[in-house]
Amino acid sequence: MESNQWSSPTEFWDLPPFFTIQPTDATREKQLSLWLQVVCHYCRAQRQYFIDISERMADSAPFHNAKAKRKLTLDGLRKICSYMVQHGHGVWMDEGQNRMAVFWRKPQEWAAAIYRWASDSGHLNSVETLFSLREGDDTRDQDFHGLPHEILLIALQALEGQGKAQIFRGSSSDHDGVKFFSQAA
Amino acid sequence: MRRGVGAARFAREKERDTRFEAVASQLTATRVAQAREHFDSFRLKLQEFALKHRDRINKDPVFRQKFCEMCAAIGVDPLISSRGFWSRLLGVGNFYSELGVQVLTICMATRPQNGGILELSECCHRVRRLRGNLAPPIDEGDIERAIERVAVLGHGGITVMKRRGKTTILSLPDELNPDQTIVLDLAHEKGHVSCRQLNEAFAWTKERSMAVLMVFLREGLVWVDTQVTAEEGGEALYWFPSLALSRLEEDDE
Repeated sequence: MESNQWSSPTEFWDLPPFFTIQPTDATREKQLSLWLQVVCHYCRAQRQYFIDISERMADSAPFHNAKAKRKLTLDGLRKICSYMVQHGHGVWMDEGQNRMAVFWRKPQEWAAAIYRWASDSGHLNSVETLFSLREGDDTRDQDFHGLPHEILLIALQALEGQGKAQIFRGSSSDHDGVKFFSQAA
Repeated sequence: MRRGVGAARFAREKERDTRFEAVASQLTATRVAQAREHFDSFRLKLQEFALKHRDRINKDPVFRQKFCEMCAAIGVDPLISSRGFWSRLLGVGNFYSELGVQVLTICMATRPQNGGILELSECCHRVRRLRGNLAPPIDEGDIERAIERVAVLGHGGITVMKRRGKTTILSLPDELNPDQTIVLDLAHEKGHVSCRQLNEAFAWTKERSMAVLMVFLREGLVWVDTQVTAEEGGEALYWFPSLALSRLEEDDE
């Protein structure tokens, strides 16, 4: 998918100062909340799951707007990611905070979607591998199909926390499994 | 023979004056009565007209504007006259009160991003979205009239600014001082200003320009842009989002 097919959910993306992190608190808060929408919207459209704090990232959409001739600085990129993490739309993947997993759906939403699928398609009380959830034919028409292992795991952990599933660690990540429990009403 | 000298003449003249006065006051009374009659019949006609075209007044912005213009020309304000007479008759008064509240709501809601400066066309667009497709259509004239209605709420309310062919709605906590007003005025041209632009336009020192711009920045009226390319002048630009966005839309059209 080409990035030029994407159109921003906010007109502010076309505004040059949108790419300068604003010094005034209230304005910056608004700006970052708009950026959160932009990033989630873009990543969802492009099926992009990670953002690196790198020049390469800052040079590409949605952080670079060729028409407005503006791009984010690395510092700006980092501030947006921090804001997303803070609001539950991302999680840092490394200690140094240079790579963020994007939750264009929050983990609880992924969890709910996965559980709904398991329950609707008769996969309760049996063990599935995470690999089959991500890549299997049974989930091809699901929004969570193709979700990276790391994010899938976070979603399933949310289900585990609700007592709706249990995760089994395999010898490699592809062999990790999960068992969905039917819920007593 | 000398005529009309003495007491008899005074008496005659006095009598004549009295008669004149009587005739004059009779005439005046007649005219007032006639005027009142005209006014009554006119009011009746206007009522009949309003009732007959009630649906169109409420639904058709162009027709409504003409109706308001007609009323204004003859000094009748359909919005406030007769203690709700028109609103009972038409619901027109409610129409503008309701619209005024919607305009205020939008001004408040968009203030974090535009600092209280909103282009009329953008406001109209947002009001339409807020009201949904099923509501009777409204136009920019309706919004201006609604703002006039809520403007009576007084200081700290909203005002309309017309500059360079554009109409802007200001909902600012404080009134603008003269320096701030002319900067905002200049901003209607490009949607942004810089120290150099202000220097070229008003021969201001950098200090004077920055004093205004820093207040605007702090109050959220402008967004600063520090990535200005050399061709664009290289120095920081201060953007008024709503003014700039309406320009971008025009460029796209």
